[in-house]
Amino acid sequence: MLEADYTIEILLITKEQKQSTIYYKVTLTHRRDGNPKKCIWTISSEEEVDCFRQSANHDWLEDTKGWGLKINEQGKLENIGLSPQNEILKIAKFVDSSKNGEWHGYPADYRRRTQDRPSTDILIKWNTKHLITNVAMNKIRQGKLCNL
Amino acid sequence: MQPLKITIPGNFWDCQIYRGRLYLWYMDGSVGVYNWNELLEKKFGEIIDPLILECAFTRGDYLYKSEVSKLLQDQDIKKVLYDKISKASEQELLINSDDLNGSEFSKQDNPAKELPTDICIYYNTLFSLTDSGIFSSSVHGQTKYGISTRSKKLWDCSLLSIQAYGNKLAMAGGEEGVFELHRGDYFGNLSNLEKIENGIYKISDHHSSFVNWSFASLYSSSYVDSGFLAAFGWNKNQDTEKWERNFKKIIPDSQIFEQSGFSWGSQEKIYLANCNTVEVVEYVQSLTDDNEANPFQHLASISLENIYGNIICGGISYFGVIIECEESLTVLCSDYSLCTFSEPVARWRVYPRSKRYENHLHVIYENKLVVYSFNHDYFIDQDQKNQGIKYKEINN
Repeated sequence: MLEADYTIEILLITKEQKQSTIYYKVTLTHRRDGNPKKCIWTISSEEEVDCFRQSANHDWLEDTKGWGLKINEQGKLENIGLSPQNEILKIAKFVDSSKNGEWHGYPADYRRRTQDRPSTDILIKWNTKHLITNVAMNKIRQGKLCNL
Repeated sequence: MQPLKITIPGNFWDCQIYRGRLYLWYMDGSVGVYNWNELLEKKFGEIIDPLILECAFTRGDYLYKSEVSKLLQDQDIKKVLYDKISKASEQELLINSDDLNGSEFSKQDNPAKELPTDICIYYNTLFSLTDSGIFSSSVHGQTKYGISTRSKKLWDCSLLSIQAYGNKLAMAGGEEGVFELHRGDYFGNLSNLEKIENGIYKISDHHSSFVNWSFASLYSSSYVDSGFLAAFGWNKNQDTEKWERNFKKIIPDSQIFEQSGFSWGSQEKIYLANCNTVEVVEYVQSLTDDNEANPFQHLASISLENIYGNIICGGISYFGVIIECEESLTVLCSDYSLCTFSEPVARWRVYPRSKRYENHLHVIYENKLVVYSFNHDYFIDQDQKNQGIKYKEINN
């Protein structure tokens, strides 16, 4: 079980084949013993970091916001967290709120928070990789419930 | 009576129909504008009865007109028309990309730069909602493209849904609440509403996924919270003798229905769906201020025994009540028949505020758009119906 916040260093190879370092902070806030009003991760902190690393590698980070998925071997999306209302969440949101290259993340509740909806550019990337359907993409943007 | 149905294969994001043109937003970011009337005439002019084709797809208002509806009271005429519509509804009508290209008015990049969350067209203006804000562009002008490439940013708030009425835009902003944007002079007292910036007012803080106009009032629905009526009313200004639209109060759906569920409303009808039924009330706006009378009259409880899955959205048009479930879309028709399309839906639209497409239901599925035309409502007593808005002819 996670006992304290920690930060790890992630080495990235950019599209231009240059090396870049970013940081990811795993926090207690979005864990079961954290803030009860926040969405919580139900995956381990190692899986949370993997989810972020995958987002960075797939170019799913935009400026100071990023989006992630946990994809299983069958190419299906797995549950990553719960909303405060106990609803299953499958999309992760990452933010670099201080704009200093240190990111943190949480499971996104796109139905309740408009800012938790991934951008259309990201959704198109997921759609192109057959991770989500056209139907899901459209519904997510409308903030509607959909089968992911 | 089954609806007529035109299938248009393709990867579409959204659609609109306005003044004889079909607007299609493609997933690749382009927007096609097509001459709808010409397209139908060329493709189906020889296989569908011309009167039915016109009434079903290009002149949805025609059979509602009082001079025509008198004819429909004649049982013989009614039967002939009914049979013709029923026969046409059995046809598989398909419009492919070559057909679209043959009636293309223009193809252009989306002027809003990203796939819009919602759009509406009103008085020759397209309003688009994106993450960057709300944009307006003129349409149907004397320009090369169907949508003017010059778009104007009206506000930089990220919103979920928009509905235009007169010079007013009603907007749902999720957790930010409900807003109105006034494009031009506003006659009324808005001092009890929070002014966000010039011409933009916050109506409520309550979560809102989409809004509809109920006369001068707004009905706000939420996919994650309760719905409510933002009641407005008309008062005559004693000094100017002008009628003014004034905000009255917020009325939560729990007060309207005395129960909870997913609720939605438009014009005089408000619906609330719970596990087993849809409750219907009629709203009389002029009674909002009346301490003696109840502005909400319960009309009916509609059984949902033939609808499967969680209800995730609802809508209303003249022809019936639209209920969206996770894997299907159902129309509770105004003639009490039921029409279910068992396929997950990306987006759907009805056009009760249009002048010619009141009978349309446009549904975007995974890889096609289907234009449904419902034609049973012409034969219904408008004052007696529970499932759908009452049609009232407007004499221009």
